[in-house]
Amino acid sequence: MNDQDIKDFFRSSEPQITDGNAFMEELSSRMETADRIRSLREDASRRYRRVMLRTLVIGSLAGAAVIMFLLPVFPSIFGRELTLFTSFTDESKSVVCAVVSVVALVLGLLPARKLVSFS
Amino acid sequence: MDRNLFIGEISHLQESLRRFLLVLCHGDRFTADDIAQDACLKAWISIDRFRGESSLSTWLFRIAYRCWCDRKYSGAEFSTENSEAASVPDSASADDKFRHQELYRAIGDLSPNERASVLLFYMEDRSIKEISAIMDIPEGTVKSLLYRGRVKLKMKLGKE
Repeated sequence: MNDQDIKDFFRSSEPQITDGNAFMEELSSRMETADRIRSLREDASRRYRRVMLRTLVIGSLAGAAVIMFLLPVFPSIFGRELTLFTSFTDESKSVVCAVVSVVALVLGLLPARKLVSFS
Repeated sequence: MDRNLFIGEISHLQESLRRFLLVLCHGDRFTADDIAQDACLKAWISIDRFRGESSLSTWLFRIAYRCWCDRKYSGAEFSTENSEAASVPDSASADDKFRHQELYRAIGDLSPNERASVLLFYMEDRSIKEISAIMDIPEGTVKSLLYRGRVKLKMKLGKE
C-alpha cells in the first residue's frame, strides 16, 4: 500500500457532512452579532476616550486652580510668614476658592463614573 | 476583505474544513460544526490581521486546528453518538462500508497529531509546508508524524 493507495482510500471513503447552506446561514447570523458587538464596543471606546480627555482637561484646570489659590495659604499652614501673595488675596478668600475648585474637579470626574457604571 | 467576499470564500472552504474536523472529532458532527463555526468567526473577527503570507484556506485551517486543540486539551469528550454523520452513503456497497469503517477505526487509533497530519496530507491533499503552517510545527516533525501515521495505518489496514 503506497501513498496513492491511501489517498484513493480516503477519496473513496470521504465522510458525509450535513447541509452547507444551514452552516453558512448560522455563520452569517453569528457574524452579524459579532459585528454589532464590535460596533457597540467601538462606540463605547470612543465615548470613553472623549470623556477621559474632557476629564483630564477639567481636572488639570481645576487642579491648577486649587494649587494657585492654595499657594498663599501654604506658608501660613506650615507656620511661616506669608510673603509672595499676601498683597494679592487674603486667607479666607483662598480657602473658598479652593473649595470651589475641588467641587469643579468632582463634577468633572462625574461623567467618567457614570460611564463606568454604564459599561 | 469585506463581509460578502469573506462569506464567499468560506462557502468554498467550509466543506473541506468540516470534513477534516469531523474525522478529527471521531465523527461527532455537532462538535465538529461548532468548532468550524468558532474558527470561521475567529477568522472574521481577526481578518485585519490576515497578512496574506499564506492562503486564506491555510490560515482558516490553522485557526480551526487550534480551536480543536483547545477543545481537546480542555478535557472535552467527543461524542460518538452522532458518528453516523461520518458514514458512507446508503448507496455504497457492503464492501465499501466495511473498508470505510476500517479506515476510520484505524485513524481513530492514531495519536491526535498523527491523525491531524495524516488527514491533512491524505484527505485534504495539503503539502508538508502547509501542514507545518497549519499545525505550527517544523516540517521535519510533520514528516516524522506522517511516517509514523502511515506505518500504523498500513499495519492496521493491511492486517484487516
